[in-house]
Amino acid sequence: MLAFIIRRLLQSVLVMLAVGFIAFSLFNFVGDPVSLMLPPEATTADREAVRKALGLDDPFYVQFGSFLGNALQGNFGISLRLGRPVSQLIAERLPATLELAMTAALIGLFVGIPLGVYTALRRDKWTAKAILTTSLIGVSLPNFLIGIFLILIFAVWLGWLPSFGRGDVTQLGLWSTGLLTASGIKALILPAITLGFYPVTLIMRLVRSEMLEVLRTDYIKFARARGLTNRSVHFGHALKNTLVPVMTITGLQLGGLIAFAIITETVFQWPGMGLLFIQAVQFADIPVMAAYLCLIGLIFVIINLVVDLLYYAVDPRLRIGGGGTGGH
Amino acid sequence: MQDALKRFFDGDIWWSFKHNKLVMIAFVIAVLCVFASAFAPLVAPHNPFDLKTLNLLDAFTPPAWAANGKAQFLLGTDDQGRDVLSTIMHGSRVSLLVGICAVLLAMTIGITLGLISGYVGGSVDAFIMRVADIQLSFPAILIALLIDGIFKLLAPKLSAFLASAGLGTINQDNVSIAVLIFAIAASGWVQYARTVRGSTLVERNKEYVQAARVIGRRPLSIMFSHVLPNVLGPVLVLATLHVGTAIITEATLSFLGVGVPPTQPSLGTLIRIGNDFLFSGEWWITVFPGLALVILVLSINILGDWLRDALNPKLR
Repeated sequence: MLAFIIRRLLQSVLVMLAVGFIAFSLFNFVGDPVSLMLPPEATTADREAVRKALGLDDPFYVQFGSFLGNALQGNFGISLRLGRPVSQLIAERLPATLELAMTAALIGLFVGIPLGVYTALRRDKWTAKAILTTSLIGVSLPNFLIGIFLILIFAVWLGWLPSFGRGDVTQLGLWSTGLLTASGIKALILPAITLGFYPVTLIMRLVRSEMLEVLRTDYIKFARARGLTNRSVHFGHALKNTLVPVMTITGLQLGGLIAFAIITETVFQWPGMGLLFIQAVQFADIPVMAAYLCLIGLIFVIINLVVDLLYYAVDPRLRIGGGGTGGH
Repeated sequence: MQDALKRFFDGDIWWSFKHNKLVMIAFVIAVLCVFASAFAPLVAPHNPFDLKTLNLLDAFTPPAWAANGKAQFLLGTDDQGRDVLSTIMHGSRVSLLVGICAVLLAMTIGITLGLISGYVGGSVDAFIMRVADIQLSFPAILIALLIDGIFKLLAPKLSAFLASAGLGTINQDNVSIAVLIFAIAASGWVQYARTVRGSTLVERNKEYVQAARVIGRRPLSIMFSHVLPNVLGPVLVLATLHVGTAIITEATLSFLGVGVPPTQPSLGTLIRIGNDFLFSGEWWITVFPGLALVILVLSINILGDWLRDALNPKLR
């Protein structure tokens, strides 16, 4: 057990070091920090002085070490485009992205699970088949197109919902939330549906196939033989057993949602981290790119680590092989 | 040749193709799309990039069936008076080109690494598979975005270096398309590598491989001329489905404004441009390229799904 956890932790640290190295290379090789900081008319002597002051003539590993030290303290320098500390920018934008991703995940669960159960139990009805076909089209539809079509219908033609921004936000200490005002909730609806579309189809298909599998097993037949009601068999016995993989997939998808929020945020001009990142890519704003990269890497590593450890706790088979081949 | 054709038409694949209407429709649509985009300069009703034929007075013409529509612009025109149908044809040309090239490149990288990983084994295998695991835990679009972003930043430096070395200048637009293809390929090689490695592990212990080893063929030639043909089946299915994904990735990157250069608009670029006119009521500029993208990807995905089932004897 302990050996597995330590190995997994070590692997996570290695991944983070690799991510940190990419971010560091962004700073030092892609962008030239000296010319970023000095006016164009600076002399060579000025450049040398700055180079020395920044420690750029230190050996490579010293520079990398100090970069990691700064990154651990959340210090990524100053945004070239906005002229403000990157950590401050990200802290401002983080709540918007997290609220969007969480809402999308909840939509995925609360729409995907019932649809999955329905299509499994009524698999021969035409409604179930229609839902499945729609989900296939949904998978072929790029995320940003769903957003554009939703905007066209609900914002342009019907005029019911706003198509950009977050509405009015309330400041709760460091956290700015749009969930407490009517305009904030209205602004959240379309982006959350857009981002939640893929998890809905994914969870629905997963629940459906797991349900179909479980309904064939002996203990379900036995439960029926005992004379339990359909409801109790379907929801008490069958659904409960499908939920473990659903939880895992939802957990793993959460990181994907935060990354895919880049697209949704661009469509809806949602002021989150993703929009900040894509603007940074367009303007070659390297400090913001590096910081976003490290943050998203950290989120992914933590999610994967937690899911792996949970798997280990839930699935006794993994314990026998002494960790086996790791988590995947 | 005639024999092979006869065998094909008597075979299972043709039978399952004939008995599946959806697949036949998808096939016809996919062929039409490929044809219309491959021969876009000849088939398209207008040349959207020929400035001489453009007329700003034609800008924002709605589709032909709407009020004020003009018969010569079937799907309407955009802000510069370009025919939307023609831009879609030229756009899907870029989309398909980038998608197919990216898939071919990803296949090459993935098959090579998968073969090496499965055949050589040991620490090489462990290293390649660890990298694949790590990459798989991040979404492909993020990796493509990152690679694209980094190489775009490096490109000006590279061309400055080439110019100073006296090697002449390179066309920036072609560079960014190449970078895009590489980024999409680099984000998609893992699946090929995993599949090929899995089949190679099975194949390497079979007698024909041992025989080849005994008569002294070198590992590389065993890998590519003996093992490779026997592991290609699943790879072809993956590749068909990957073309759809690659086209979506390209469209997404172009929509985000980091994909193909504006001088060679793909479907994603067209959608992004049209998106600016959504609120002023010119919906057709963005909706039709969007529909074209969906139809193209959907028909490719249906074909890929069918191929997977048709080639899988377990499902018959």
